[in-house]
Amino acid sequence: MMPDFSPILIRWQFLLSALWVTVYISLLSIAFGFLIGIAVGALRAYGGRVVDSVLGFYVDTMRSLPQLVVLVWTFFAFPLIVGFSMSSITAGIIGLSAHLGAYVAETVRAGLTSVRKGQMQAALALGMSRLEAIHKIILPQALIRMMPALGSLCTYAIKDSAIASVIAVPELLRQSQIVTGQTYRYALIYTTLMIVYFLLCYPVARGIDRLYRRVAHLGSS
Amino acid sequence: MRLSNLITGLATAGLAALVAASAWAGSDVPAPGKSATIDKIKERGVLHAAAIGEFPWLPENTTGSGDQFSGPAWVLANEYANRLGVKLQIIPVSHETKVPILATGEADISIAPLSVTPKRLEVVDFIVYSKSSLCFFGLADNAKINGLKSVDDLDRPDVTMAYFTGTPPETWAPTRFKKLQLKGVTGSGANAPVEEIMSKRADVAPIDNVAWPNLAKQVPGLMVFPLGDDCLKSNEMATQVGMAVDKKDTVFRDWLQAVYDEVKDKVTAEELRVLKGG
Repeated sequence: MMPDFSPILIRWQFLLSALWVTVYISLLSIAFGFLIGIAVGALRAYGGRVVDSVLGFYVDTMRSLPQLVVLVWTFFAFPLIVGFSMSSITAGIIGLSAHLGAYVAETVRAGLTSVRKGQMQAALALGMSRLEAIHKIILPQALIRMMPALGSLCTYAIKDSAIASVIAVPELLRQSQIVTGQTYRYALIYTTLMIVYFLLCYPVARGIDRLYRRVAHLGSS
Repeated sequence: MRLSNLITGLATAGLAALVAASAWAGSDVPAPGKSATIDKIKERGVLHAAAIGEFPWLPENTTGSGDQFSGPAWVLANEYANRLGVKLQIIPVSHETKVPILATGEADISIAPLSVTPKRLEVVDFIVYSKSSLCFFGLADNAKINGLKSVDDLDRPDVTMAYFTGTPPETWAPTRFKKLQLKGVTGSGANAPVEEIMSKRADVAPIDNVAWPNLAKQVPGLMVFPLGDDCLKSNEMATQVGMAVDKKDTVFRDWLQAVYDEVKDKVTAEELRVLKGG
């Protein structure tokens, strides 16, 4: 017997708008998280000891705090400290980006420092500036080495967007909970939810993996 | 004689007009400078209302078209926005955030249906528009509870009651039940933690008495305490239900109350409409 999908079909517009919110906050938190991470990772790798210590504190702090705590703090405590309020979506994006940025930073730093020092020295000996050496020699190799880890972080970011339901961001999990609250069809709606998250994350994971396989040889030295 | 009658008539009409005007004055939007909250709302052109759907006071519309909510709280919130001449903007909240959000300034008013409790009265003021009490439901085939006769009988150490954290039963239940095991769970968007009962992680859960008939209709195999129709007459944790506003601006609160007093028939009619519609 076919299961009754009417609780979902009747509310498809409601759930579709929730899916867009999930995609929206995932994309923005990935974009901002990567910007933060690349800047922090590069500065930690090449910015000197003081910069490394200061930014290391940010990275360690974020890695020591649960994502949920960061989000709740961003939504409730941060507006009281800085004196202006923000919507739950904005708070969600800030909290998710700040948390993701720390992990991206460590991946970037690891990628940059994985390229042997001799290559930098050789580039400098050939008359390249430090920036030029990073841009033309170090980064192309490091980026490829970072790719699998950064791909995993992208899928984590999409999945972690569900945590934002706690601060009432109207994303997929929260809106699905509202639908279950009205229909009591837990098995149907939460199973569908799992499938939708899988359909969002699986292509990202496989796509990056496939891309990496194509270009992996360029990252070896 | 005619002139004196005319004068008396005019005087009476004038007095009546004065009485009507003074009654109306309470719901007139306070003048600029009287209420910081109203000034801020008018300046931005938007009334920020924190909301989480709950039957029958603020059921969320999940069809994807039409108004986002319905119910008495929705009617009242729109009335406020209309009278202020601003747009109504919903700030989605969870059960845990529906009261604290007022302190952050993110919302001007919380239209999430709230039971009026002493703890909440310490931090917010209420515009009361309804009332509620609790019933307790569980699976009818649960051997631990299906032989029991009253709410008092539930107070046994082998019975577990689930409730949503951040809701009034969290503070009320420990004073009502001394032996029963309590289990707080995160709000799921439903009126009650039905999934805890269906998955047999808990034996009973509280639900607003007015929401019970709808739950019983949608989920077969449940039973309720007080038994049967007595649920609708329950006095367990009988409370008023209202919307919350920050304590700081009493002028704003008084205006909200005055508007409600004026439109309460419309608000009550909407609640009855939702209850009849199920």
